[in-house]
Amino acid sequence: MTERFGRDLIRGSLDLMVLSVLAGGSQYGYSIQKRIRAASGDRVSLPAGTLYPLLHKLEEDKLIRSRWDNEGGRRRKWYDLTAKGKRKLTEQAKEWTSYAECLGRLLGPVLGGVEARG
Amino acid sequence: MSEREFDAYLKLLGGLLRLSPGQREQIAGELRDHMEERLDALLAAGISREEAVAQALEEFGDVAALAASFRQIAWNRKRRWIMRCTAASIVCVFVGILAISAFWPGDQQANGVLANARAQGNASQSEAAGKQETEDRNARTRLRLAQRGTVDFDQAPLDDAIEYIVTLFDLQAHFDQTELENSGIDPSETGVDLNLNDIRGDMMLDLVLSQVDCAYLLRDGIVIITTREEAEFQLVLRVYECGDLIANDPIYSQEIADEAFGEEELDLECGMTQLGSTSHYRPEELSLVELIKRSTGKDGSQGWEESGTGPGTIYRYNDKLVVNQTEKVHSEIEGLLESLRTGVSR
Repeated sequence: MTERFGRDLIRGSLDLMVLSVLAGGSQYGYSIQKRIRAASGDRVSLPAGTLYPLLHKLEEDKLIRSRWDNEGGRRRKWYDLTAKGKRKLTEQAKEWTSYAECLGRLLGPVLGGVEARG
Repeated sequence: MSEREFDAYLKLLGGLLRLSPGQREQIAGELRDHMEERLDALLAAGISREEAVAQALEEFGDVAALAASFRQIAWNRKRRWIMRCTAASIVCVFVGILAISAFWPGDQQANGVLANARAQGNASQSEAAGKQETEDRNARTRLRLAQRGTVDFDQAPLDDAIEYIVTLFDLQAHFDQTELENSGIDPSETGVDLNLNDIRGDMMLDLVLSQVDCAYLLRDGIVIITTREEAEFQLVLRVYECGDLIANDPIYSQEIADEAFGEEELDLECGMTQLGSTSHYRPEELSLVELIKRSTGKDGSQGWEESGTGPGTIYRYNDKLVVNQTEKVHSEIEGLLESLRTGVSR
């Protein structure tokens, strides 16, 4: 299994990950967690104890909204992106991508040798 | 399906949340859904039920930390709401004053003055009842401050920190601006740190205020924030019912016997002077009064008159202890008595 990313590294981008999962449509807590794990190839694990306070904070900031549903006899809380959340996601996605490129250019030479060997 | 372990965890979480029953239920419902789905997945992967339940819970982490995270969010919401309300009420008051000054008829003003005079008459009649009410209000505030809560201040301005505590325990607070200004303390500019789970409100206040050389007093149930120096001047008389503790006090009869023999010489060489007339007792033989005097009021000059460490006095009258001390020491005494009763130290 690939090594997981460090907590410090992902801390600032967890909300962005949650928003991006919701960009694909309604999700509930457990499915968000599963999707993030799958999308990152098991390298990002978002513990339940972090995920739910984060979801509630995003809702508080009006970036996502929630609704309860009894589909399939199971009472479940679903989340969706709001318009504000969509705007924020687009802005932050641009910012992160250019940040990652920038960091990539800076760090590229450091790993040059490793890449070659790999 | 409902696992007992899940119920226990969610019940504990609910208790720590201090949110409305509706909000607690929503959070519990959402987390339970997650736990159950996770449990199904783990069982499907061939893990034993017992291990699966444990793992599902472990992924939520420490219940107190989780509750603290949720409460932090609720607190931020409340704070925003308070700020909005404050702004709105200023506008309302301003508009109100404009409206009243524009439409205020003369004879109604006279009626208002009469009503005021009547109110003052009533006030002086019920002075005695008022005193009792003040004591009740202080007692109510003390009860609220005996509740527990969680704080996470990282260089929070003192006024924000106090507002948080006030909201958490449903109190009213007032800053003694004159005293604070004289000591160069600006509550909005002074930062405090405190990160503790499940601590008493009075301790929260003590720990926050002591960082900035401040303390609190209770007046008519209101928490007054002032400088430590000022608070040390303000003694409050309280009577503690201690029949249960005194009944088991092995020293009471011993003390009376000793008084007949007179005081022993102080043992200066052993540095026992601070123990006063009872220096010959072994520590486990302290009377309740002596125990309180030695265990409390150790900060600054908030100690006891008899031992020359401060202004406080303590006397025993039958089953009661009559104590004149600062609020801070009163809360220390309360904690000590509580510990003696339950055998658990706070």
